[in-house]
Amino acid sequence: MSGYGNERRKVLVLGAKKSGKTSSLKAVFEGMTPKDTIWLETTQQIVKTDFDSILPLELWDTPGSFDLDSITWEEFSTVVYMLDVSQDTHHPISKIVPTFILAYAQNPSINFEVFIHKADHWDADWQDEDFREITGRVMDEIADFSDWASLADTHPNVRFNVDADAWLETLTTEKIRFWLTSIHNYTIYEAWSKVIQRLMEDIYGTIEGLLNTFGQQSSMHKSFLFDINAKLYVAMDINSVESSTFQLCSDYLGRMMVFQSLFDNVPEARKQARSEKAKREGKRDPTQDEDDDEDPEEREWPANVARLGENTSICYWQFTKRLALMSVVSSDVLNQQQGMIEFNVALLRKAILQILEAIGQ
Amino acid sequence: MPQDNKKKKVLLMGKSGSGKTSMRSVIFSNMIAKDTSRLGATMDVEHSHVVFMGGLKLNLWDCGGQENFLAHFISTQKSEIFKNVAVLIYRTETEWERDVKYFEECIEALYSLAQEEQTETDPSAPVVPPKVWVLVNKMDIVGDGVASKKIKVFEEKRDEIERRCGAVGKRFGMDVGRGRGVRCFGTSIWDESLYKAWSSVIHNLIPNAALINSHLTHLRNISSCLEAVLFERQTFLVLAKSGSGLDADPDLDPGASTGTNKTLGNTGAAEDEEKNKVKAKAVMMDVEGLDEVEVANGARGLERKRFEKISEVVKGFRRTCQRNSQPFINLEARFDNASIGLDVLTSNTYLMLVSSEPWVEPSLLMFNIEQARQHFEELTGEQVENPCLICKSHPESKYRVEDSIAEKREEWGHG
Ligand SMILES: Nc1nc2c(ncn2[C@@H]2O[C@H](COP(=O)(O)OP(=O)(O)O)[C@@H](O)[C@H]2O)c(=O)[nH]1
Ligand SMILES: Nc1nc2c(ncn2[C@@H]2O[C@H](COP(=O)(O)OP(=O)(O)O)[C@@H](O)[C@H]2O)c(=O)[nH]1
Ligand SMILES: [Mg+2]
Ligand SMILES: [Mg+2]
Repeated sequence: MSGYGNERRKVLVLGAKKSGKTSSLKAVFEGMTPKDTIWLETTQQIVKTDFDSILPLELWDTPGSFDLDSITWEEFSTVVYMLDVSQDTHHPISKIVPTFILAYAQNPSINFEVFIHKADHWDADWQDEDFREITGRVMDEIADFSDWASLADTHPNVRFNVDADAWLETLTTEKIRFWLTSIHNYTIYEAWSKVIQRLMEDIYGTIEGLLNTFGQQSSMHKSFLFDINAKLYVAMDINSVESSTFQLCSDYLGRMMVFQSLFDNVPEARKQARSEKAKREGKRDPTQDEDDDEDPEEREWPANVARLGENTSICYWQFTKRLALMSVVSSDVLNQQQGMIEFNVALLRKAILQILEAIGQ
Repeated sequence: MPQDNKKKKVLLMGKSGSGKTSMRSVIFSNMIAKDTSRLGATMDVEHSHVVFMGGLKLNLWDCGGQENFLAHFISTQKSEIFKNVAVLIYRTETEWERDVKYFEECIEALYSLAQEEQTETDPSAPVVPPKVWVLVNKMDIVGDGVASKKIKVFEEKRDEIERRCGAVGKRFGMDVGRGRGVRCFGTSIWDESLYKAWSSVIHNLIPNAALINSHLTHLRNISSCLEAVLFERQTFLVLAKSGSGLDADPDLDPGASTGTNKTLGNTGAAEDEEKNKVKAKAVMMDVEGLDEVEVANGARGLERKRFEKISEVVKGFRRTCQRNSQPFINLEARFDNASIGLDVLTSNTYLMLVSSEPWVEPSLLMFNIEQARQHFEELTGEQVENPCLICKSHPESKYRVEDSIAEKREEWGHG
């Protein structure tokens, strides 16, 4: 796993003006309420934001139109393209296809993720069909691409593959993925989860394997490794469950964060109360002699559980500043085998910390 | 005042469109604020019942606020409407002048009927005015988003309402003023303020609030907790909390907290220290309405709107669960700075225990809630079969049997 290095993975977010680039980044990575995104101002220049997920990321928010030739494609791991379905999609698609081809020619390891965005504008009954129609159209335009002359004209330094058909085929089948998204529901989190998982390469499989083993040994219905700041999952086990399970966990996580924040200032107030009491009684202030640098090894990480009836409990075990295990398990199993489960959680945590260490996190 | 302790008539009055039905739906029917724009206008009077802890029944009268109805309420329907009222909640909005005139007429009708009732039952006793809550609603659209402006508008309205209540009360020989029979809250269905106002109403209607408060304080102390809070199960309104009463309304129920501390005070302590504590406490209660255990455990660092926010968290999550055809039962959490146990206590309540002690495990809190369940069920029920020391010594206790106990009561020095 030495290939991971420490450098940030760069993610370039492209899309027409008002397609939802800034909204989606703010909602997922800065916790902005979707309702508040209507107040966002137009992005005038490229804005780079660092975000530490399981891997360090550098997210590039861009204006609707800028000089794409200023981009060095080799720098980027991923291009996220936002395709706004509340507006015309034909023009944006014909514009983005040559860009994908150009980027792929210069960086064969780059990934493309197309967010078919603002899906809330679509009738739920027709959503799947509309989705297929748009993905089909993008794929066709790439497969039928023929305007090599003008690409070569404008980019004399780029060498394009001789076997164009096979090369384009790989681009469509292996490089481009499509996601149906909306900031008003969980789909945007799901899509960003998948984007990050792809960046994890080998370690995704390793962590998935660990979660599978944990799930089998502890009788979990489903387990996720969550990025608690972005509320997305960087890995999950292979057990198949309804998509609502992720929604339930994500909703729970968000609410527990609010709950926890109500008690943020308690230790400070406790300390102050003791120091005031000592003063009143004419004693030496005991809080002066304490150092509050707690040993991170000793720190007891938050953990909680909500019981929702016999068949379902949601469990949360925080592993690091950024990552937490969330599992759904039968309440009976949890009540009867709590000790064993806690033991398995400790083992899983240790294994995941080792992986993080190995990749330099 | 009505004799029946269990059934309370709550009148919701105020001009049409001031948001009476909206708030009723948000608080009692779990509706989200956004959906209230779809509510139809209320015609005449809509009745609904809510059963609370210990069989406390709220009988909500949502009185349609169109002018022709209002006129009827204070004339032909006067005695039907204003008789036996436990609480009048008046909602007012922006059209202040006319609102206030109707308000005064309603208060007059209310007080005059209370006086008549009192004369029928016991003419010698002083007339206790029915309590009035005035919710100045739609505060979210007041003051152009400037907080200080908002507060100023509210304070002006509050002062005028209290002055008018005082003046009307005087005519009927009643002493009415701030915290004495009339309370004002600025509210909005879009935030926690509505919740706070309703908690104040409900807390006031619970027949044995001080007794429950004492029990919560005891439970808090033996669980090494910072706070013990009792919530209503459906609405998640806070009914009572340990220590110094609800900080939602510090001037409401001052007797409750003093009674508590007498019962559970540190009896073994030296007199001097005791005095010091009382003095220190008096100072603290002035500032934030907290008792010494709370302060020592860091309660000053607690978010002041925590109950409202917890209610929002739990109700919101419960809605998500319902969408997934799941019930929500309970929650235990070790947070960064606190341990929480939140579980069903009685058929109508939830109890939350919060500890800031690092060694207190959430499972321990859950265990203590479990242990307290039976006694609380009795306490909020018809009769207490197995009274604890707090019950025996408390003036509000429903434990009244043989004379020997009555004598013991004397010994305990309360009553
Ligand atoms: N209905 C809907 N509106 C969205 C969605 N995402 C963003 N928007 C709205 O689209 C508008 C433009 O968003 P913005 O992020 O500024 O677009 P940008 O120019 O691509 O950065 C804002 O008013 C957003 O509230 C979505 O998923 N659904
Ligand atoms: N902005 C705002 N609107 C409110 C508030 N409370 C109620 N409303 C709106 O006022 C309208 C009338 O409310 P309704 O409950 O029918 O009033 P009622 O006639 O007193 O029962 C509805 O559209 C509500 O959505 C509030 O606190 N703020
Ligand atoms: Mg933008
Ligand atoms: Mg109405």
